[in-house]
Amino acid sequence: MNRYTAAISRYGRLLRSATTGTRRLADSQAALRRVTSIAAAGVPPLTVFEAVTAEISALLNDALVALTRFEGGGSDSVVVAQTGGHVPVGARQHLTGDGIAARIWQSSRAERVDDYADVAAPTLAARLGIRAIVAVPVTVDGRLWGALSVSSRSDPLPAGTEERLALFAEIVAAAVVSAAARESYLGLAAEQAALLRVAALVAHRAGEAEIFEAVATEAASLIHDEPTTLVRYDGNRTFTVLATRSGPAPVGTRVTVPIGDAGTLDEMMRTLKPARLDNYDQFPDRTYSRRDFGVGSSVSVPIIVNGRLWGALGTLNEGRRLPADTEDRLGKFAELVASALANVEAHAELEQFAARQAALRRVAELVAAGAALDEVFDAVATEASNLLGELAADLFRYDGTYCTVVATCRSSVPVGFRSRADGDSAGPRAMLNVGVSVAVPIFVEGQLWGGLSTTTQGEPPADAEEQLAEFAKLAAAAIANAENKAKLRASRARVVATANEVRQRLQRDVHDGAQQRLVQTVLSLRLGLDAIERGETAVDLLREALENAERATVELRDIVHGILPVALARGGLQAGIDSLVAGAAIPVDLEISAHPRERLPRDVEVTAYFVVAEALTNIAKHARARRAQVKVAGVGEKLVVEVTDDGIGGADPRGSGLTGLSDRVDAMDGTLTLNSAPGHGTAIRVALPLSDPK
Amino acid sequence: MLGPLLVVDDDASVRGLVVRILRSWGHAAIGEAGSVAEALDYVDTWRPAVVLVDVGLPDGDGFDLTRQLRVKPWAMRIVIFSSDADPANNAAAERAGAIGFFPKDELLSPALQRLIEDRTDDEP
Repeated sequence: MNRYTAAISRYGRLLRSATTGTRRLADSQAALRRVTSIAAAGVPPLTVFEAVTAEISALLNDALVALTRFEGGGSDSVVVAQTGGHVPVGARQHLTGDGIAARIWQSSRAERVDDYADVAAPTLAARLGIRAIVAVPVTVDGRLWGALSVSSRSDPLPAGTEERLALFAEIVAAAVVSAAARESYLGLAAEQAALLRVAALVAHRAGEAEIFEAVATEAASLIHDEPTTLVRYDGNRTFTVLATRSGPAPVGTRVTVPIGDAGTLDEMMRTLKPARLDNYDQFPDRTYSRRDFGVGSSVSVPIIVNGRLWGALGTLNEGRRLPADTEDRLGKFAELVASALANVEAHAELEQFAARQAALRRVAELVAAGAALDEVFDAVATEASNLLGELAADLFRYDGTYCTVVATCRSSVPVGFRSRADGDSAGPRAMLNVGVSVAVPIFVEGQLWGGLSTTTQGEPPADAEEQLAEFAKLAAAAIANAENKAKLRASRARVVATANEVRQRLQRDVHDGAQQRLVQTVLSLRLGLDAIERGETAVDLLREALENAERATVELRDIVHGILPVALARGGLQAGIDSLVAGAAIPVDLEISAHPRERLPRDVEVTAYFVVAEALTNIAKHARARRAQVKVAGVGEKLVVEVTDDGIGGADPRGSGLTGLSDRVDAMDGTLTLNSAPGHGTAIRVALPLSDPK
Repeated sequence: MLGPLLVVDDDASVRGLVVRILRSWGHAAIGEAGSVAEALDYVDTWRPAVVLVDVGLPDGDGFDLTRQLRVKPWAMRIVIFSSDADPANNAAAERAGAIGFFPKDELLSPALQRLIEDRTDDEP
């Protein structure tokens, strides 16, 4: 449009310079104004051309006016508008000899023939009865577009005709420029609309087939409906037709481009850039597409998704040269396809990510809810299998020698299947002849517990290991949870059992001992009283009563000491341990740091006391030690009690004494470590937190 | 005149005291047993009319022994005693078929003496 406006204004300047005030010039000016306004209205070029010829004809007393366009690079000239019926519109003239058109093509300037009789072989003019002619070039964007001419059957045309025609030629040129601009604008709009339609499909997440189909159709429509085909690259120089618009190969066709092929796909694969071959005839033996599909001309542009060649969009025909902008147009659709596919891939990745998170969350929730291990194992196998594209998933326990399958999903291995784990860790794989196996270990508190594996005949997903590892971690957490819970339950049960046992023993001890003695004391005294009343001697009975009362006292003292030693209760940990050491069967070296001399939380004192008491009892019973050592020290916020001996070692940590101690220590959130290698004595170390456990 | 009496208790010194009490009430024929087995032996041999049974015995308990004695083809008056004065023992003794329960420190009570000697509540 700008070009057009510029042409009009250029015309204005010319007009002003040419206007001299005469009547003729005034008419000329009016005629030019009229055609200018017609041209400016944006009517089709032909209307402008007809107006121009008609105005000139009227201005020059019904002269014969013609507008011709050069074609074929100067070989032809075609009549596009005329007046007076002196030449038919569409008439084509070969630019030969010394004709006026040939002269203009050569000179690009106005030309004049005053008498065709002087011109050699003026065939057309002679046939049309033309004697004289003046023609001016129509130049569009610096290129010779055509010629505007006035012919006369009688006199030569007056001087100045060239200048007057030149003014109108400007209008023609402006109309041509304007039309070309509009045409290119319309073309652009069509391209935009076509791209937009495909983009809308992409945005609405239409199926890939639908998008590909639309791409082939829309791209073809922009390239004069030349056959257009969308292919996917499958690797190994092989392409599959996904969509086509009147192309020679139907959807689903697979073609493998031979090495050294001269066609556009080969070049495109090498360069990853658009490739064009206008004439396949040059390589009759080296183009499979010419041989198989009769292709004579083609343009192929690559579709590149995430840096990889995904496929190609190509336009091809039997041999017509494809428009110069074919690469650009196909390229835009290729980009659209690429971004749609990248979107689909990104979307798929996002969905996969979300699915993975959801699966992990479901298992984690089961773990957090303290679901039964079997349930967690099943969930792990199922979710892992689902996420791995429904590949088989097996969860197995490893016991040092064998792997035992504890949960499966989509697997050919049954739950309970046991295989030796030496060498080929994927025992089931060896037996069932499964293609590929990916397995990750399950570690529970630093110990290899088992593993989670997937097996497939094909290629496992690249991130299979990573995905399995996440589930393995959850399984490990569930197992650790369950084991800790089981330990805690057992510990609690033992604490309760121990408490019951202590109560029963206490009841038995009191009932069988002190209570009996006291009852006998009472009976003896009563019998003695009766005897005295009867005047008999009661000495024996009194002695018996005293004896029973004394025995009862001793027994009660022992019992009370068993419950909580008086020394400990009154004098604290140091006094309690002193009394234990004093009563020990072997010499004990005692080392108590300043800290425990103060009174500590009662539970800590009692627990520490029983640790020392139990350890010394064990030493006396089992260790065959000559000497023992007791160390009690405050270390940071902890009380540490160590009892060591030089005995035979080999203490059984599952013995009832040590288990009971361990339970007591656990109940205080403390830790107990036992070192008792055979032949190297025994060392028990207990650390108890001093912070008030509430 | 009552037939022989039997005192069952695993603690010999307690048995001695009970025997002494029974003697003070004028009973002469008094047997002693330290366990359920010894008691059953004695009963079958001597067919005592009255048996005093401690609850805690090394091979069973006084309630069980009472039930076993109750199925003998002759009548025996059985009293259960214990150093444990738990009132629940009264009901348990009754259910087992004893004529009464006494805490050990009340074995000197005239009530026990009456219970042993009174024949009014004999079974027909």
